Amino acid sequence: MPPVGFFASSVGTYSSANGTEIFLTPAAARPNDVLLAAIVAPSSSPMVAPSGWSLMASDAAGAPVSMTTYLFRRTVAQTEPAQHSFGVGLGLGPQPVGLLMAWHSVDNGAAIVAHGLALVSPTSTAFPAPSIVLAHYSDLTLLVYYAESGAGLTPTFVLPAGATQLGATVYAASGGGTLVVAQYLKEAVGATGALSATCSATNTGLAAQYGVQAYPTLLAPSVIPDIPGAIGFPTIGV
Amino acid sequence: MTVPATLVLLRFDEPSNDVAPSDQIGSLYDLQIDTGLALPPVVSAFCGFGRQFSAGSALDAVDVVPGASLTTRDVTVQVLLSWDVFNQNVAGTLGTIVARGKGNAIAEYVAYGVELRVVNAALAIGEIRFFWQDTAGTVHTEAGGQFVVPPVGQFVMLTAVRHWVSGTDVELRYYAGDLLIGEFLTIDGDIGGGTTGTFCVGTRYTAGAAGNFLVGTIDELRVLNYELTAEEISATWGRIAKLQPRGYRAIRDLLPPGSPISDDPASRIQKLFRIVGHAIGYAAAQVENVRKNQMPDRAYGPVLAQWEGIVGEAPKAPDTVVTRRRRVIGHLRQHAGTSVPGVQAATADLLQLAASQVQVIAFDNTVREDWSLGLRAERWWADPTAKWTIAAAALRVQALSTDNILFDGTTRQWSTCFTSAPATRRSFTGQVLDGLQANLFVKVVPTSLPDKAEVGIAFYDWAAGNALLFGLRNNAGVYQLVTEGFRAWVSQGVTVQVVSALVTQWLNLAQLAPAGILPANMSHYQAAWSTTSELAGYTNSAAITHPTVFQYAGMYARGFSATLAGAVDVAFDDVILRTPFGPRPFRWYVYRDPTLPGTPDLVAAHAQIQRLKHAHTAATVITTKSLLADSPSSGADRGPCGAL
Repeated sequence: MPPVGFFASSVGTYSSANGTEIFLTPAAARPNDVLLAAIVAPSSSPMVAPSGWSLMASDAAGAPVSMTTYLFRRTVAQTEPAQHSFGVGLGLGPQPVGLLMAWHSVDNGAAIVAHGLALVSPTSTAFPAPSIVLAHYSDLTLLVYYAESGAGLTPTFVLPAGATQLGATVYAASGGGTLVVAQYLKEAVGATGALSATCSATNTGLAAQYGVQAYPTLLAPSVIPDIPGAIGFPTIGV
Repeated sequence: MTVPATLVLLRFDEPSNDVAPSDQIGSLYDLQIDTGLALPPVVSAFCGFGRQFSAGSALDAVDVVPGASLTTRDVTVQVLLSWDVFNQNVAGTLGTIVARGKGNAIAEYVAYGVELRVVNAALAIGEIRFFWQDTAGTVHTEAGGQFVVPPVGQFVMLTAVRHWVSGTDVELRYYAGDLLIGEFLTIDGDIGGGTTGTFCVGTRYTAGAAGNFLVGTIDELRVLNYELTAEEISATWGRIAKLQPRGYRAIRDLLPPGSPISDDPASRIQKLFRIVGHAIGYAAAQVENVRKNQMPDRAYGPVLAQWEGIVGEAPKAPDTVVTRRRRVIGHLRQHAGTSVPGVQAATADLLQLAASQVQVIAFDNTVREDWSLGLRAERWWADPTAKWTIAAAALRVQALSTDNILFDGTTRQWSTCFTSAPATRRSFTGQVLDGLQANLFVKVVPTSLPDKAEVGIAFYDWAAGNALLFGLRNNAGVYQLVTEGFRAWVSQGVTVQVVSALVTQWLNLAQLAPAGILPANMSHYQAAWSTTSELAGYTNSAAITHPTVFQYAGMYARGFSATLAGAVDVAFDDVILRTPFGPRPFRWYVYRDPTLPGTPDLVAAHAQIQRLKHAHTAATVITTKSLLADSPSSGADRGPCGAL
């Protein structure tokens, strides 16, 4: 099985009138790939996932942020819908933000390995996502950083070393927020340690880590020589 | 297209350290060692001898014919090796299998390199990955495929495949044995390398210094300039790991129990059996390969090319094997001819859609327009544009009292909104009879029609100066339905068909089928009108003689004086134009909604329907229903253009 691999994403669009966060399915998604949707939405509003999506984890950040992070999963079907609409509530402020990601080799049935969230108060630019404990060598760590925009403020993040940004969504209007989702491959079991991103300005927000199980690496098939001598690579045939 | 070839094949079968390893293909001079490096010693391996690489030992050679081992596009590196992942970890470096180029000059930029990385030594997890330099010398290390490394002494076949699609699109695949362990896309399509570069085995040079030495035994190594498929890799691995050992087993099983020969695998007789057994296994593998991989869904190499030749689906250089197979299969799946289900079945895979999502668009000879989609520039030629708008789902024409919209043949300031009225029929003299027997219905809703103004419908031959107008005019407060023909811009006179009122009119203008004797190139026309409804209450005019050919049909607003008594405001709706000899039924389209996921092969799908379509029709695959010049989505360069 190939190692876990991210290959496409799409940014969510909030429809205030319909109360939905809509994601387009990445064109490169193929049957049996796994879609993960990371959504940050006001805690006061219920979240309704469309058919075929399962909630892996959710973590609420209390006041003054009062937002909840959700991580949903879905296996790509033979005829995958062109878009996915999550019910998030009408006329929300701050508006929900989200990112849909397409992956190879994410386990499509395993429970979340671990998750944790930290509320960030406006005393620092540091957004430390709390450490989680990975159970498998091949576990994938997803990092979610969310900062409130404030009046016209559009914060950006510098990610921790070793993390790779998968996508970001910026909502510049007052009361919105900036969401950055990144991956971190520890390639070992145990605690990941707090992974801190640096925000461009002192801000309120949240930082979270999600440990997602991927399919394990397989043993390479091998041959054991008894007596040296066999036909190796061909010059004709196979 | 590059001719598929093995560029380098190193068997490392030389029995002694004194004999320099040689390339079986002859692309390379015999391999040597650089100053300061050690010779990897000869050791026993799975297929005869191999070379044991370690820190400080490596081999290299240059091409006999410069460029013989160079490829900056597709490449497959396949190696049979035993990797000592633990000592590689102790060495603390990457383990290089091969690097084509030393990297320190343009001619030595690495065109392809494959290396091993220790991911987790405790769990014996390793990774194989590509690296290369671009034409500026920047090193690009690509994502790799990971695998659990077998214990030292066991041999694994690793394969790294690079398929170059474009300068920003490269596919990478990695295999361990017959397992796909990694599949990635990269944008690093700019690949450097020179013909005089050095082929390095077991090391990689940085700033002229050898490093990243491999710790392990290479049994065999080959480099190909094409994309090895999973099926071919699986067949090779199946032969080495299963069928050849089974051949040997078969020979042993043929012997009567208790035969007076040694069972010792190292005995001379067992070695002889092994030779024969492996030969049988080799032959069995070829048969098995034919059995498994002869059909187009798994074919590769010359067999796939033969399939392509049979069905006439020529590949393009950047096509993947998967793409080429899909085309052949799409061709073979044709059934039900040009029926909608048949077209859907033949193109669905190529378009990466379910059959039900493939839209087949075809037309009859009637154009219907209710303006619900606006004033579509693909269909309507509104002139001047500013005078024509869409209001309340109808086409609206307006003119100010100060506007001069005179049309009298000599002055042609009128406002028109025309569409084409083509025909495929020709006269005996070869003239294309555009407009032949066309029939135009339009609902006219006049809101404001001042004195000296007229609105209506017309057939128009702009090039010849011929026009036949049928409209409602205000003639000093009297509303009249009139017809007027122009030939070479000269009026043939106004005929008042009826005195009407400023009310909704349903107007119809039609060229009649030939009857009676007429001058050459002339036809009879008939105007009809109703104030009741679209379907009832019509009164027909007497036959009107007018030139047969015209290219345009549509609506107009004109003045029959240069000065209007007020503003014009009239709406047109429910337009129906039938051109019974038009070409519309001979054009059809396969529409692929671009918002749906998937990576369609539009070129192949287009080629597919060229084979399906009837000879008298034209068909194309499109991803937009509007014609946009120079947009590949509209098929503008393939024709027929657009789908409206």
